[in-house]
Amino acid sequence: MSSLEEKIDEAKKLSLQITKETEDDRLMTLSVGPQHPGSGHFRFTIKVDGDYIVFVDPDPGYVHRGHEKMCEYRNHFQNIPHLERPVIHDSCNITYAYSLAVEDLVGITVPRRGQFIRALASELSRLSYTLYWLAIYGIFLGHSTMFMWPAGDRELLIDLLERLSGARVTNAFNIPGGVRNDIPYNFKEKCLAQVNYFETRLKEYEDIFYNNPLLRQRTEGVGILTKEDAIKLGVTGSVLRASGVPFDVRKVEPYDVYDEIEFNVQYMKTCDSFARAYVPVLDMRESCHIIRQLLDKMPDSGDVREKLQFNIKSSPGETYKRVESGRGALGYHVVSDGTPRPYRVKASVGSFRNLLALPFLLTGSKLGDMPAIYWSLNYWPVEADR
Amino acid sequence: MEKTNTENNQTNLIEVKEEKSNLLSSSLINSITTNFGDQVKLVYKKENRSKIMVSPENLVETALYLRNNHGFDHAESASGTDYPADNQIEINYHLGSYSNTDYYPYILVLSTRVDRTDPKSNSLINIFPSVEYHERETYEMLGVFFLGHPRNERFILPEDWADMPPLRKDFRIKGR
Amino acid sequence: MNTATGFIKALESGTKHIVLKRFTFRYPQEKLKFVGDGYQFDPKKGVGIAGTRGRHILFHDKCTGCQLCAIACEGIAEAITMVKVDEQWKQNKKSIMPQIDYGKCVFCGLCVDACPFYALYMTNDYELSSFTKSHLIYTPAQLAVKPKYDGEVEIKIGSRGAYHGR
Ligand code: SF4
Ligand code: SF4
Repeated sequence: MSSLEEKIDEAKKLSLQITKETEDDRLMTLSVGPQHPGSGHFRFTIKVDGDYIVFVDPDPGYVHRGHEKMCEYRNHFQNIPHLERPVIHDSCNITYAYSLAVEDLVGITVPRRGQFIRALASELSRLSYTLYWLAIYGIFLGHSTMFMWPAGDRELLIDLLERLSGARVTNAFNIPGGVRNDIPYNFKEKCLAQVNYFETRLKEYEDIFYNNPLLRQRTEGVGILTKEDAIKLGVTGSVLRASGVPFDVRKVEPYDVYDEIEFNVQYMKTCDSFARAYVPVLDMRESCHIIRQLLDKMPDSGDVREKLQFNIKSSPGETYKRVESGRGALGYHVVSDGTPRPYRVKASVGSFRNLLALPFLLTGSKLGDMPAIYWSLNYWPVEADR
Repeated sequence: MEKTNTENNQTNLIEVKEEKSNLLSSSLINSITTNFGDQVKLVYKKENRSKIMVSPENLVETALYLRNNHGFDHAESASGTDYPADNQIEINYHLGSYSNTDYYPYILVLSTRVDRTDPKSNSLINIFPSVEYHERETYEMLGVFFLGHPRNERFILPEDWADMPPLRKDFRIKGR
Repeated sequence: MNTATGFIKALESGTKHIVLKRFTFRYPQEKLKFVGDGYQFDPKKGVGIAGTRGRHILFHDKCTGCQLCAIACEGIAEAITMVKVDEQWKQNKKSIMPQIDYGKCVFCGLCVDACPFYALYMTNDYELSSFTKSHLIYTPAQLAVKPKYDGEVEIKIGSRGAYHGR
């Protein structure tokens, strides 16, 4: 008989426990992603108290492919096609940094015409990446015209990249030693015409999207990342420039021919989501400006590539080279032990660094502001996972 | 909205730049060596880059000094390299500065070597909050335990990862 | 700018597009015009010649069976295997030639860069879909066929916006 009473007692205790827990369970846990159509291959768990987010835990890794380990099994040329996979829209920039690092280890300089052409390719691919990002930002705020327009106009730039390199997105164009091929005939005129036309389209974007009162209401004053916090969190790229730090690798540490090009580092001081969405557009304008100068100043003839052996041995040592990608500073730390294969490759990518700002900004904001904040971080999940 | 106007005197741009950065390198290294003596070893000094090697005990101290006196305020990356031949793992912090405009192009590599069989190192998370995810990644990729880091746990790898840390050199990819 | 003018401007810039030309084109009937005959490589100069990187073309009279293309692809996609062919060429003693699996190939073109005998190029043909995976494996005989590709539209910039035209 005692056993029955004990059991009842236990059951009482248990139910008491449960009710006690459910009583103050105000918080609801939501999982955003990885199947969410806009979050990318990325998941974060959020806890909401009513409408307010109180806890954020990012969980990347859904598209981790062991990129850095793969590099250790391939030589410097074989690394190029798989290195550009994380951000195929920005493939010329991501291979640019690796090429610079390998050239530094091998100890060669690229012919001048080659430097111009790869700077041109990287500007084109930065533009096409930024348009892709803008398209997703638009659809995420419920503005489907802003998805169609950039996605269509991106074709102008993809077409140029295809003429230049032969592939639409996975270009494999910048390799250690220069570029794969020279520019085709009448490329300059076509490039000029299409980039000029593209610049007029940017004005229309402003009318329909950036000056649209709906967008302004949804983004202005949302997700404030002050200058001090931005510096503390070590964010980069447009997120940093939107917080009032004029830092652009092309300006502060000019690689290749960027020290001969005149352009301004665009930044804003409002620190909110709107600034983070608007700085890339200002950057695109500067990019158009840079492309025109590159086409103008490019030498008419000359080598484009320093021919390296396929199995080139680099001298032992290490280097850290960075470029400005569409998502901020992108650095490659390459350690070599004198064999044709790198000993260790570490990519310091903008997305991974900007990820730290996500919990910081989302905590305390409203659930409805989540898309406006999340995509304004210029976060590319595949790049962050590597 | 404001635009920056960096006026460069176009003449001798390259020479001026190079001199300046080398000065920067030298003054930085001098300041470190006068403060720490031979606790800090200089590995290399290049244009806009230099690497210093400290012992694990002095890591926090050096990082604090660099932050307070030279304005290095964030880490671009924290990573590790495995050296099985020396039975050591090297931890590299690539430090940069956003608050000191002189150091904009500069990257200082602060590195330390820990024992490979039981790798432990002090976390720099209280000095540079930006290393949080980088250190967490280094923990799972190389198995370095960061003392003082709140979450030494899985980040990018699959939840059911049960093998050794994959960026160690004795972890081989299948079939290669 | 107040709210009303903001909305009006946004609507205006959208409605303007009713009179603009359509940017898209009808794909299977019309095809894009590409630069040249596909990506090629000149091993003497050490630079490529710009062109689209579609499927490969193999010149049997030039291939020596040196396997350099297969070695290059080994670390990339492992798409190339060297197979025996029943042809007698005096430069190709072993009678082996590359066979490419387009289920694996990433169209990077580094095998073209590796071939020192002008034997392997790429073409404009990118329409490679098939019903089975095994049909994607192209034997040396299939690779020797020169594809027919007649794209003719390209992007034009006119007074009424950009469009695809002949
Ligand atoms: S194009 Fe690239 S992936 Fe395809 S067969 Fe050639 S080397 Fe291999
Ligand atoms: S295609 Fe060129 S590289 Fe390949 S086996 Fe023939 S000759 Fe050699």
